[in-house]
Amino acid sequence: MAIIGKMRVTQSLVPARFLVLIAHLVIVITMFWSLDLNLISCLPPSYTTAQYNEKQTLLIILLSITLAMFLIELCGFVSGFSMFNQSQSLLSIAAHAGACVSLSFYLFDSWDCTLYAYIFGFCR
Amino acid sequence: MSSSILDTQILSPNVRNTLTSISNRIFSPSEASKYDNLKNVLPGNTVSTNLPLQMAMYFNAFFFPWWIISICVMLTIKYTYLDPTYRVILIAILVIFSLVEGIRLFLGFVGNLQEKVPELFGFLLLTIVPQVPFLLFLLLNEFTIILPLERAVHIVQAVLLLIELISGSVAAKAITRQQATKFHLQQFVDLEHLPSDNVQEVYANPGATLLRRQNPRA
Repeated sequence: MAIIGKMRVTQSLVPARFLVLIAHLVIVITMFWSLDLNLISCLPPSYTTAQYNEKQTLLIILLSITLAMFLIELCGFVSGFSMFNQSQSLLSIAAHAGACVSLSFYLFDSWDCTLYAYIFGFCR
Repeated sequence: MSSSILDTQILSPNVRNTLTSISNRIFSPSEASKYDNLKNVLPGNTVSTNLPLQMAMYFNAFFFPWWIISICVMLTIKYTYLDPTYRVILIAILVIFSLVEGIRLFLGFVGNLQEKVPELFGFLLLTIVPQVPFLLFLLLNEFTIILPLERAVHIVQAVLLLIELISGSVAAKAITRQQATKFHLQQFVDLEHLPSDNVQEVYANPGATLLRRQNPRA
């Protein structure tokens, strides 16, 4: 009986985890393509091209590291390695959901781009 | 005939049994001889449901509503900025893609889980003909003003479609091969069940076809 109960819970954890992972991935890819506004909001009102490029490089590096970690987590999930481990699934869902919410705020309100480093550190 | 010292039993039967059981436990478990589980590896008896295909379709089914919502919202935002031609094209693609996706995923589930070839092949055809060209059009055509969110969402859908396409063709090949094997084997089984007078006729006349007898011999 306990196994059947566990299976039913697992049945809804797996697609939930997948959807949250994909949502986070989608937001990260969206950020990749719309770096401009966030970069402008974190530079002083009059900025040089060199400062802009430097911040842009920093952000691109952080986003690339995020994508690499995504790849690792997706491989672990899809190969079944961590698909049925419930506590880890819950932790992953919570972390990614938090990241999604904060990243959407980041995108919509044009937060400072250095704040991305904090989100990255906390939610990964 | 002559008894030598090598023929004497050194160990008592109890000790022999104990030693045999211990050595079996230590030395035999990891290697499965190929005659274990023979029934499961007989041709026609293996399960040929494809796991990557099933996973890709399952996740695709969950992802599809969010894809639709994103596309509709983005279309609402960029509607006034679009060329009139592209407005019509985008709306047509959206409607056709949504309708076909539901049918396609249903056919894929039935074809894969119940190992039916026609449904699986219908799934593959529907994937190749409407879905992949439309998705490529949406993803690569710059005139439709691809927004970043659309790009992200189309990339995910494209990856899922690609996995389904590849594993779908592998699954179709495996299932077709297994059904052909089953059919060939079934002919031998039928030959055993023919009544004796019919068997004479088949041997005498090589051109006679084998009939599948539904009723037991009366």
